[in-house]
Formats: sequence, structure tokens, C-alpha cells
Amino acid sequence: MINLNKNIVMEIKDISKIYGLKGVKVNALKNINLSLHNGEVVIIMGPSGAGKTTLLSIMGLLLHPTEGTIKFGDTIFDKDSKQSELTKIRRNSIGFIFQTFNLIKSLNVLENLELMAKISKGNNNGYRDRCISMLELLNMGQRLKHKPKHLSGGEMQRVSIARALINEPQVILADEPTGNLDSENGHIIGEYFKKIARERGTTILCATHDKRLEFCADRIIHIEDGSLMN
Amino acid sequence: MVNLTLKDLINDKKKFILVCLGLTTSILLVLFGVGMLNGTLNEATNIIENSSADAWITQENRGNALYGSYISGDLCDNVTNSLETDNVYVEKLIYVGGVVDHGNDFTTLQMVGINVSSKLLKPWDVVSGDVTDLNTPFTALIDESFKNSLPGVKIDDEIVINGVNIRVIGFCRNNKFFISSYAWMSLETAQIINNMGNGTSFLLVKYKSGSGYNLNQLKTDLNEIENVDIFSKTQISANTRDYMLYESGAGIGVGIMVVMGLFVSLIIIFLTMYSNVNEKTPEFGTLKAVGASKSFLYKMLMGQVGLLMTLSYIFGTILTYVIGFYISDITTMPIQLNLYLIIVFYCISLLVGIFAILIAIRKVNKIDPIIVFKS
Repeated sequence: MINLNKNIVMEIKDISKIYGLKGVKVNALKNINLSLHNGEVVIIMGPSGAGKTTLLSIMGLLLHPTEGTIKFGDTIFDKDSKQSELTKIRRNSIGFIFQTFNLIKSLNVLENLELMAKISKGNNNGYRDRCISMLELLNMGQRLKHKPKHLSGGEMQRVSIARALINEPQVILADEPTGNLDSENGHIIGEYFKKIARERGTTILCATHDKRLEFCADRIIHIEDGSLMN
Repeated sequence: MVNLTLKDLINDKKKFILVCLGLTTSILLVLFGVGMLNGTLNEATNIIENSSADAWITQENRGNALYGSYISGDLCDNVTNSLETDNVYVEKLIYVGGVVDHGNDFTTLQMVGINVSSKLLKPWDVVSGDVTDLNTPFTALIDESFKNSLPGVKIDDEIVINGVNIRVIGFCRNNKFFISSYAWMSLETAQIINNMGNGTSFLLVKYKSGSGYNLNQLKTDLNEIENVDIFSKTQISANTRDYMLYESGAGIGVGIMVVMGLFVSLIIIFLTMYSNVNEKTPEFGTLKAVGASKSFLYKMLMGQVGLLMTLSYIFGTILTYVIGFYISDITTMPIQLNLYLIIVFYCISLLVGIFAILIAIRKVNKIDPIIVFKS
């Protein structure tokens, strides 16, 4: 159940996305309306090609919608928003978790997190300590100096979660976060999502096929043929 | 704090070393060419720069020190008779090429015939012997580099210059032009060896202090004299350098060598950085997705090029000095670099590097961060 007392952190209105592929127009999203509240875990489920990734991309400000608006805090974005403005919001307010982890191979675990300090251009005082604490919280304290190639899938995904969390974003977007993990590690990731949302008030929007993650969701949204089902 | 620029660059150590080696070789080519041209230009004008003459009189249309100038004895007399001795001091200088016969082979040399008590030009860096001994006919004070073609040659030995036996009375150092060492001798000895009669190659003119004499007055006083040209020291030095740079082919040859070196650097940087961006497209996409600005990515790429070029440039400079020193020692070929040239060509190399990554930067610009969701 949605706690209506919680603040809305992100709201999309009448979002449509049309791709033009070799002269053929594909309606990837049709008139989508969705609000994300503070501290909730929302799971988007749907078959391949339903529009999950497109929705996640638009809500992650990686893709301009064809129509509609995205309200993030007090700022409204639409099809004409400047890329630099979107980049700034992504840098400071959105964390990403990817199916393939996307860690920087030349950096070790700790450096992958420290890199976010350089990118965020914020106050770096005590950043290293914060990175270490975050990694310890995700049981990666013993692997700080390991490079990604020396980590298991579950460990890489935990580093990926730590990276998404380190700048304390309001929203975390996760795309098939358990897609490359076994069931035990998949469950652990779900537990982390619940914990992060409850303890930090971070909103998590997760696109997945994985029904094992349903246990951690406050809301499950189904998408099919570019439209939300409920 | 983490340095992604450096970590990413040295992550593949074998590739990093190979790229540095390639760049070092191309920079060696560049600096070697620049050093050789600079050395040649310096040596081409050393006879001018080491003289205290204010003006040089040459045969007509022979306006640099490297052209074969000849002023006959009569013409010399006409010139000196047209000038007031209260205003100027005039000396003859013979500066002509020749050959040293050492058995089965010949090597080139440059004969410098001077008034032994000259006020305007003397051998510099004399390491042994007495210049006044040149007053003895058929003697020469020669550059140490003669020891490459005449191993073991020492004072009082006789060498054969243009078929004439000449006794060595001393040695000097760095008195040479390119691969031709200087043999200093009296004016009279040089005139005999070169069948010049009482003539000379150049007339050196020194304005007497307090006379207020200058180049324009010199030209006015010699207005009636035909078949000679008059130059200030600066002019003839510039003419000689220009001749080496533009007419002799040395400038073009070395210029091509330098451009080739820079072009190879450009290609190496282009291929390295472009393939790097291609291989790491998902990483660049991730950096963009998590909020890395364009300037962050540009700085990273430029930082990598800067590091590559700087490291390679340092190695290239050291190698140029080591190889240059060795080659100069065994061939007398001049390779001279100075701080100014090193800095100028470092800046040029950096610009070439930055130019070479423009396409890689364009490629990074085109990477759509949405690829992070396309596993």
C-alpha cells in the first residue's frame, strides 16, 4: 500500500515515447502517469519489449520523452530540456544500478566509489571514509582493493549498489539488478533494497523480470505494450 | 583521491609501454632533425658570429658565407684605397672548402686563412699550440675532429691539404661546419694552396670607435666599386642561415623529417585513443549516465594524451642527447638542442596530441548514456 503521507519525489505526467526506426514509428510508451514517493520500493514488471527500459531511461533523465513532463523536486523536464541540466540532476540526485554492473575495470572497489566524488564535484572531505563505511555496510569491507575482475557477480552488484548510494541520491533506478545473479544473491539484493528504502528514505524503482524480488516491493507496476496495467 | 586518467592509461601496461615506445621513437625523429638543423645553422654562421667585424664585403651576388666568394687582389686594393683608414680597419679572410688526402681516401675540410695578428677573427677554443706559429708558412691549426679521419694526428705531423704538405701546429675545438673541420692558416698559406694570388674570399670591415662610421657610409664610399656587395654582420649571418634553410635543401630535408615524426605521433595517438574509446564505450556510457560532465571526460582524455606525450617527450629528449652525443662524436655531425627548442617542440607535440584526439572526443560525445541499459 502506498503511504499517501509520504512526499512525492518524482512524478511523470502523460509521458509518451515514439521511436522512428527506418520510417516506421514505434510507440514505446503511451501516455504514462506515475509518481514515486519517498522511501518506497517500486518494481516494474512486464515482458520483453513492453517498455520497461524506455520508462526507466526517461525517469533516469537519460532519454527525452516525445511528449509529457517529468517533475523532479521542483524542476520540470520535458522533450526540450537541456542535456547539461539532465546531467546535473543525474549526478546529484539519481543513482543507477545496472544488470551488467558497469564498474570501471581499471579501478578497484574503493576507487570505483571514490570516482563518484570526482564526478559530483562536491565536498570531498571525509569521502574516502564514507566510501569505506558504505562498502562495509554492504559486506564488501574486505574487498576494497580488489578489481572488478576478481569479484563474483553478487559482489560486483553490491559495489554497484554502493556506488549508486554514495552520493545519497533521492532516487535509485535499477535495471534487472538480479539478472546476472543466482537466487541467493538475488535475494540479498532485494533485502538491501528494502533496507535502503526504510533506513535512508531512498526511493527505488526497479525494472525486472525476476519475481523473486517481489518480496521487497511496496508497489508492483505492470507494463505491457507501452502502457501501465495497474 | 582516485586518478582515473592515470589508472585507465596504465591499466593495460603492455599497451601503454608499446605506445610510449612508438611515441618516443617519433619524438626522437623530430628532435634529432631539429637538433641537426639547429646545429648546422649554428655552425654555418660560427665564422661570422665569432668575428668582431661590423661589415662583410663579398664578391657580387655571393652574399653569404657559404657561397664561394672570390675578390681579386686588385679589387681588394680598390676597396681599401677607397676607404679612409681613420674610419675603418679592413682585413682579408679566406674561407674555402678543400680536401685532406689520407692515403686511399679524402675528407672535406674548410680552410680559414687569416691575418695571424688579426683583430677581427681568430680560432676559438684553442686547446693546444700557439696561433702566432701560423706565421710560419705551410702550417695549420686544426680542429680536433680531424682525429676522426686522421687517427693519431698530433702537433708537428704533416697532413696533405689540396695536395700540399701542411704541418700541424695546434688544435682547437668546435671549429667546424657540419662534417667539414676547420684548418686555420695564415692568409698567405691559404692563398698559395688555393691559387688565389693576392685575392681573398671576403673583406672584413671594422668601424673605428669614435669615428661614427656606419654601413650606409661604407656603401657610399664604395659606391664606385663594381663586383662587390656589402653586408652588415647581421645581414650576412641571416643570409647564411636562410641559404642553409631554404636553398641548400637541408632545411627542407630536416623539415620533412620533423613533419614525418609529428605525423607518426599523430597517428599513434589517434589510433590509441580512438581504439581506447571504442573498447571502453560501455564505461564512457556509464560515466555519462552517472553524471560525468563533458569537461570531466575531455579532461580525462586530454590528461591521458598529455601524460603520454610528456613521458615520451622526456624519453625522446634523453635519447636524442645520448644518440646525438654519440653520433656527433664519431661523425662530427652537429646535433644541438637548447631549452628553447625543447620547450617549443614540446608544445607543438602536445598540440599534435590534442589534435589527434579530436575524433576520439567526437566519438565520446556521440556515446549515448542510454547504452547502459542495453545489456
